[in-house]
Amino acid sequence: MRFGETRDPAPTTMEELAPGGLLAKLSRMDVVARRAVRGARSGERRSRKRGGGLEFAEHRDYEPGDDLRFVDWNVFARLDRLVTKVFIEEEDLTVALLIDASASMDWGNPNKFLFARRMALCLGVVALRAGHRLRVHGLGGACPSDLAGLRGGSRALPLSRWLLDARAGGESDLAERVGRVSGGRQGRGVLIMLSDCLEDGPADAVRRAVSSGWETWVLRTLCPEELDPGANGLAGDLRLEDVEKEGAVEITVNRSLLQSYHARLDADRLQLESDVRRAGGRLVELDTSLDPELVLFELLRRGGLLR
Amino acid sequence: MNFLSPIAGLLLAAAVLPPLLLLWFLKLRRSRTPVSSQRLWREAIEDMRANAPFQRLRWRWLLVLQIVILLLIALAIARPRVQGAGESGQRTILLIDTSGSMRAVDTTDGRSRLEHAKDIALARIDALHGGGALFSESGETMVLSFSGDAVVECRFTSSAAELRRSVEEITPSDQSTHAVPALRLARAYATNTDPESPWPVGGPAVIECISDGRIPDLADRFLEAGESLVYHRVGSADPANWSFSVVAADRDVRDPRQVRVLIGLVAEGDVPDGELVLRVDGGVVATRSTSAPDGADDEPFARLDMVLGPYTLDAGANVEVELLVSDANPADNVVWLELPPPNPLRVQAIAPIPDLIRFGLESLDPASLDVVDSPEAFQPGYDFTVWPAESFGDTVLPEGRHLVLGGVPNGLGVTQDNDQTTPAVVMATEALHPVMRGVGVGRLEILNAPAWKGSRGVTELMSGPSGGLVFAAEPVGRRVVAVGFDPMESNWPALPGFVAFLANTASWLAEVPEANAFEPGDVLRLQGVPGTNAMLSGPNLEVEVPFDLDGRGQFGPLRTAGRYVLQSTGQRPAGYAVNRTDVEENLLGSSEVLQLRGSAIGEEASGSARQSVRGWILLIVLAVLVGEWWLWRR
Repeated sequence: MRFGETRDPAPTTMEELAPGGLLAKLSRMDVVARRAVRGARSGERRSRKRGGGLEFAEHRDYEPGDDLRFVDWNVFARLDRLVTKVFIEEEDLTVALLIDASASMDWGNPNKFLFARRMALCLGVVALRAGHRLRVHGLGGACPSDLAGLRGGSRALPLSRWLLDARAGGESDLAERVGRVSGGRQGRGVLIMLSDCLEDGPADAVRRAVSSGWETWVLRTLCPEELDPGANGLAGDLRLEDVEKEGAVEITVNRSLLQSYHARLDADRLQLESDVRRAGGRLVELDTSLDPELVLFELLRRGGLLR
Repeated sequence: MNFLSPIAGLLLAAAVLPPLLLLWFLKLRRSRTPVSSQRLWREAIEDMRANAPFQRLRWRWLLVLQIVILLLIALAIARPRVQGAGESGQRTILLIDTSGSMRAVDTTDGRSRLEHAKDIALARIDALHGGGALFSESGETMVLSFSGDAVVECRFTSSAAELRRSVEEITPSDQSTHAVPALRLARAYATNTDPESPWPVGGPAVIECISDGRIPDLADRFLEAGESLVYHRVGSADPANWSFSVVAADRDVRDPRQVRVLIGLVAEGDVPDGELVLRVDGGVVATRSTSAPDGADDEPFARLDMVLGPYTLDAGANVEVELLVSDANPADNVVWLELPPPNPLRVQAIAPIPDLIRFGLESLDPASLDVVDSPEAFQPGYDFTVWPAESFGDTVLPEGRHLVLGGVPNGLGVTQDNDQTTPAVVMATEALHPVMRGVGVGRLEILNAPAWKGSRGVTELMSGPSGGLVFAAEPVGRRVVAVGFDPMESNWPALPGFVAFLANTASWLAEVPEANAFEPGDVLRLQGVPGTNAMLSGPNLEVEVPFDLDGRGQFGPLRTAGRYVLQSTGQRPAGYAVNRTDVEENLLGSSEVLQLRGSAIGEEASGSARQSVRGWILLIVLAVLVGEWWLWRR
């Protein structure tokens, strides 16, 4: 078994993808949208649109043609002035899951791509059960065609089927792909990008998504071999070959090199978090060796993505 | 551990280690490892290179193993040897010195150097053939002894018992040390042990020399390429020893019954006083106390010459001179002489002989002085013959002993530059020559002196301003004293020194060579009754010697000094004196190094058993190579 080579077999069922009754434990969770978003149709979420919602927003002067039902007669009685109550229109929330399926994701123990799909399934199920609209997109690799417009808990099955059928491979251009996905005409909401973010482009992708009106989350998935290669069997005189790109780098693993790697990894994590925040998004880093329940109920809840 | 070829090992290490390091960096095989991204690694390496320019020189097991392998190979080429038993296939030649100096007893245990040498040889045999943890199989060993010549005591064998037996049977000799024949023999055996094969069998043998290191002839020999010579030293460096350097007897010319015994002694180190005893035919005739001459304490050795006698000996006799003293080598404290019967002086003169010369000869009181008329009437058998210059002309002197007056005959190697004669006085004399002892020539004046020039081998006893005046020469079969000028044309006959000159000349010419005097290593050439056998007895020896039809027989080379007696049927016993008077051999100071030309072999710890571990090192190299291969493949 070579360093970083995935030991676990690929899942073939939903149970294998989310083992241990994980989905059942997500029944009372919901995706948090910190600001009002514009959905495709009216729903359970506040919208920036003023209109037929139930939540009062403001008063404005009556204009001919306004619906007389929204005239505030109490104000007219006190002030002898016609004003119209403006309500925030409630729209449905769109949750977009973007899964990085580049070759670099299909690596590590536990496998990063498997972990990302597991998280995607959980988050998707949470969104569906909460009545949100769900979209699923694969970034690179050999994924089935994008899923869009899923709604309702019963759509967990096609979601899981999509995730089980997805295959990682090749390269992915995060910024371009996210820009295309986020710029569509569908409603806005929460965009969750699951990626290892090892190549350039995550911050740019976040910037594009945020500018398109998405509340953007980056769930960065890293495996133990990436977080601590020395403790996970990397040793000797090696020629490191990138699974995604051409080229190789020759190293001799020793203490100083590992120290240098860790310093470089820490710097990269800080830099990415800073870039994502500046772009308007939020970053949560996930270790694939962590228990999914810990990730969902602790990290993502504390981070504010779930409640 | 020591090394037989340390320079070779160092050169190899110096030559290959730097290229190895270079090649290592140029061509390091690395295992291919896929990673999710090389970006962080590339950045980490760049960071590290920026902070540590020499990070390549870091601990790498494969590199360390390769360096270890090369160092081990260099070590093996340096031919290390450790204490242990003989390795398989190793051939060793033990050279044991049995020369006269090895008889010395200069240790407190009362055993001779040869006994100690044999102990070392036995210890070496045990070490080489005794097995051990590392060396269970022994090689082959050969035993050679050497003194004057080399003796193969035991050919190459792996049998320890056979080797031990051969060593135990080695006996001492009194011969001088000559190691070259033994070394030549050892080299012959060291390079080829199979006479049927034209090619060398096996590698060169290790030659181990057990000696006191006093081997003069080795100083002219080189250690050949690839040759291994180990020196085991015996004996002490500063023994105290008396020995004889000269023994001779001299009968008086005028009264041959009177005998003087000339003795030369060598005192080495801080020797005690001794008592010299002269025995004639077994009876003590005289004793003389001896003590080391002044300066003997500071010098390596000192000489002491003495003359005993004269004693009246009417007949031939066996003379024994013994120094009674307690010193390092009792074996060299006695010498013998076989003194021939007195030989009355008989002189022949060729006419014409001047009266003054005749009177001078008669003053020697010869038993006979016979004057013959011409050179043709010359008769052999006289002690010497006097030749006036005009009597021999251009003829070559016959075999015998001659005194020539007034010229130099042909065949002596003396030539005349020109026919001119000039008045001359004596400018120089060879005062140490027996003929010139006590001969005063200060007032000698010569009226007509030719210009003679002597060639090499001719002794110029007197020299004038134009050349030689008197010569002494010993061409084959002859002994001649030639006076190059006519004494009658000088005032010499009127000078007292002329009588001394005649007496010395008569003594030297009539001198009988030491009869039956030999040294260890010589061959006794005997004369006996044709076709018979005679019994020869000597020190620890009794052997029958056959004589051929010419009555000639021989025995030797002689190993031991002493008196030998040949007993032939119907004849008087004949004695032969074999004396060890070789000063170089009698000096006993053991040498710390074996001096060869261009190199000096230091002594090996006595009795140590050092063996080559090259084979084991190469085995370790192989094991490390396997380990490296495993690491490589992992």
